Amino acid sequence: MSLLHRRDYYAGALMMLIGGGAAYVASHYRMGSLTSMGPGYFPTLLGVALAVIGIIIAGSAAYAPAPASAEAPAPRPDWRGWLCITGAALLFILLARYAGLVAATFVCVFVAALGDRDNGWKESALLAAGITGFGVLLFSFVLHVQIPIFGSM
Amino acid sequence: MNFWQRSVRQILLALLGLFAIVAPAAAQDSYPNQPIHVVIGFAAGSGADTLTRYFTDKLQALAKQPVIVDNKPGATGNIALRAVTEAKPDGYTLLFSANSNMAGSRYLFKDLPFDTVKDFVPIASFAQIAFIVVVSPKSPINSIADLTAFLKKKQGALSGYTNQTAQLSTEYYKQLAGVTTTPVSYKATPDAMRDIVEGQLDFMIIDGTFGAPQVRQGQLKALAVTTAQRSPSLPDVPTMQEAGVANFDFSPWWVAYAPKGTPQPIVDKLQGWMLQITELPETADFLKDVGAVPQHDTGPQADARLKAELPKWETLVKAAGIEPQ
Amino acid sequence: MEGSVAGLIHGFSVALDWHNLVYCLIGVLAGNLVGVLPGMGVLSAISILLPLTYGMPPVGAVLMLAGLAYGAQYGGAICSILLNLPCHPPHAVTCLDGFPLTKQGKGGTALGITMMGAVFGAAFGILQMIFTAPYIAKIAFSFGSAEICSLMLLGLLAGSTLAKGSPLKGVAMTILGLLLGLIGQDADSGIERFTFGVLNLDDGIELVALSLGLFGIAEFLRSVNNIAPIDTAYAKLGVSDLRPSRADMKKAAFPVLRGTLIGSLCSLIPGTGPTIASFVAYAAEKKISKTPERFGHGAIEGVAAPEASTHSSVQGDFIPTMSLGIPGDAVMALLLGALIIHRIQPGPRLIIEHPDIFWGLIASFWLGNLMLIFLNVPLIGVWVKLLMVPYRFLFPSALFFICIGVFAAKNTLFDVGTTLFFGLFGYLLLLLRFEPAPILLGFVLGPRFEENFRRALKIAHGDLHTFIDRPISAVFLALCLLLVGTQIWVRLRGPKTRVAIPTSVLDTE
Repeated sequence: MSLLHRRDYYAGALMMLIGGGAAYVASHYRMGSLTSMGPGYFPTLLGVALAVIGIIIAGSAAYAPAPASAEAPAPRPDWRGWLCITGAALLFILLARYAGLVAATFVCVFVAALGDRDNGWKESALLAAGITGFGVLLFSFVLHVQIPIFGSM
Repeated sequence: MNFWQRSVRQILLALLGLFAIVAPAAAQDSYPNQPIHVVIGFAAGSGADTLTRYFTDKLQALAKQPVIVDNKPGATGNIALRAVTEAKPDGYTLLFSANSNMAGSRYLFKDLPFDTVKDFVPIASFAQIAFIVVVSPKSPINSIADLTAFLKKKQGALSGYTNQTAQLSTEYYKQLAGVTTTPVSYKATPDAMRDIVEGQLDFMIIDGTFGAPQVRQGQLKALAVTTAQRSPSLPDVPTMQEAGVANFDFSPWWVAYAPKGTPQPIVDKLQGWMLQITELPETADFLKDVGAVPQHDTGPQADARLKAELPKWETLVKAAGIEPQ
Repeated sequence: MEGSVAGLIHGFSVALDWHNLVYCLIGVLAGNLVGVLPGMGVLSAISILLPLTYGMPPVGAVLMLAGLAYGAQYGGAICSILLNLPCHPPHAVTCLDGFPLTKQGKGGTALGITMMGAVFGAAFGILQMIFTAPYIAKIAFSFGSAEICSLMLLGLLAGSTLAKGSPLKGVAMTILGLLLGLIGQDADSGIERFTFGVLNLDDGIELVALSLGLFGIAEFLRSVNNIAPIDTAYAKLGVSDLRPSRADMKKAAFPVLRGTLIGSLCSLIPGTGPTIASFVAYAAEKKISKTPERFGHGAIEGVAAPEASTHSSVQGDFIPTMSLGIPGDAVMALLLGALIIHRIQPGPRLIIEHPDIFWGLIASFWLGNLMLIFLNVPLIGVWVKLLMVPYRFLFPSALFFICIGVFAAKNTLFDVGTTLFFGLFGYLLLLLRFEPAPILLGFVLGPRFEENFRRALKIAHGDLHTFIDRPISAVFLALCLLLVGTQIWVRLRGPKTRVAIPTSVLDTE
């Protein structure tokens, strides 16, 4: 089976999952009628519609002919990049809460930069330091963003 | 790494080290020696925000420290409440909130992670906002008596509301006057304005901060104010009680709070300042613009006042048929 | 008419006072800056600067804050076009065709066209305010719940065709956006939907978090370690087309006009802001175009129309605010709050009681936009040089700016977490060949559609005919049918022969 076939299948499956889940949760809210819609009416409708579209998408993957233009294969999983970006954001949240803006900014940029294979420790640290200096100046002193420069919120 | 990069790095590390030493050594001798944050559960630009900013501006002059407004809107004010309970009780995080929030939340929500009476220390009350009963300027109704009679006759009359406080006050009126209406909710005040002026809605009880200027400029017709006394901003408009709805007194009053555990000397200092501000004639003038009057309860007085109101809120929420979340 | 001209002359005398000029300049500079920074938004910036205005005379305060509001729109397009990162939701659609243009080496052109659209859109909005302010009330008030509902429906139908991929997937994304928009408290019944007890979701997902997650972080996840071939090509193509060519300007002329009209229409209807205006303008261009396949691959109309519409919408937003005292959105509400703190009563009497403010403001719009043009056009070259910075330095910095910008929207780190979540989810969608743009549209329109549908029926006491009985609503519904009808007809007619799509040389997809 071509890769495309499998991809649309998953695409459809995801829509079915989300739509079905939404419809399920929404059905527990009061429904009402069309002319007097309760909180559950519209979301259930949407959930069902999404699930149906999901079925169609997944189904079309099985039966549609492969398109003329070649589809690029899915990119190789790039765990380093993904983990660093995700980690950087998470660390920002954590450190902004408990350690202050300077720490949060530095670590966020540092870790994210490390996600790129062409960035080494020193380059990432330098970039992080530069952005931290600029960022703290701009966001804390000029724009008064409510994250303490040091210390917990 | 070349010499330049190394030097920059060393300097940065040194600076970081210096900051780390200096920062925590905040002298505790006299309050306040840092900016004070006032948290409110409303978005910037709302009536509550405008009200707050007047007071924080005045407080800043007295405290000689910046007083910053932290808008933490959401969950009908609960996000702000929670944020303040989680803050350090050192007098640098305060809350401005209305009784409608403090009392109402108890009965509108189950399982809140805080107790609105026990977890907050009232500092002083400072303003009371009138809500106004309005109809379209084109409407033939001219008084509450007219309105009640009209509602008793009309099937399926429509009343609007933009927030829970307005909703509850409408229910209160309906209860006392013995009428029923179909309530229509609005997320945004402009939509409600449009429908009331066009006559789609039969009446509305609206926030004075927004409503008073509209009434004064002729965009809306006011039938009554919900406070027990007439509002200085609309002196010609009778109160609900004068208009015949006995015992009607429903208008949010605002209190400054500190989290539980804030040292009493700091609370007393803040109380002194707040009472000073509310005594200013300028304050009365400003509040008049936004359909409000100053309040002068001390912390303990505000506390007692709130506690006395709790049963009324409980009945109101039940009567309005609102399910606790 | 005479009154307006006299007022305008008076207004210029106020605005040209050098104090006020300075205030205006500060405002537009700050606005431009805020526009370039992702997430933060005009609202946060105004609420931060508001205390500073207490000591200022009211005219100056209003000029400055207003400058922030429309100045921000100038900065917003830059990151969308050059970095595929929408700093603010109204500029999300600009990414769709703006970034492909950059990849073709025409980033400067795109920015230049944006300026064109900006000036025209703003000018139109200003003229509208001067001459039609009294009539605005009539128009705005005739849009009741039924009309808005039908309009939203039209917007949703048009919007699902936004995506360049499969229309079915486009519809799926729109519906997904609708569902996401429903998370939070239901105004009608008061219950919380889909929040699962999380207090921070009670007011729904923050739009800025959704937008920056789906378009920002998801893009980073896709592009990290993946972008090397483009790097060198940028350097080679250099900054070729900084000035839009005659041909480009001709192509962009009518889209700018159409976008402007759509934007001003949206500004009159309360609750439809620049975001909706930009989406609708884009969708309209795509529908009207004889070669819709070009959209998504660098069609200049796809940049010109939404940008013009955003600018005209923002200028138009001032009208109900200044002439009726009814704020069209949160930013306008804050402006009114500033007036109130300065002891000025907003409302229809403002123009009579405080002509300084009203006409001074309008005059300052002209001056402010002029200042912004003089500031931004030369800067286009500078911004395009930004592309020279290697991506491996850009994206970590951008990630930080996104995190702090999103935080500043509501002062909560929860929103930063939301951004990350949608970044990951958005990447998953991209991997599955979904185009996330319609999500934003569904997210913004969906709840309004539901709210107005239910309300229209409540007011009509359950009578569905209300949607057809009311003339404006009927018109919109007819347009909906037309839209759906042409879609079906096109399908039935059979597939056209494939037209060669001028994809960029550097398209790695």
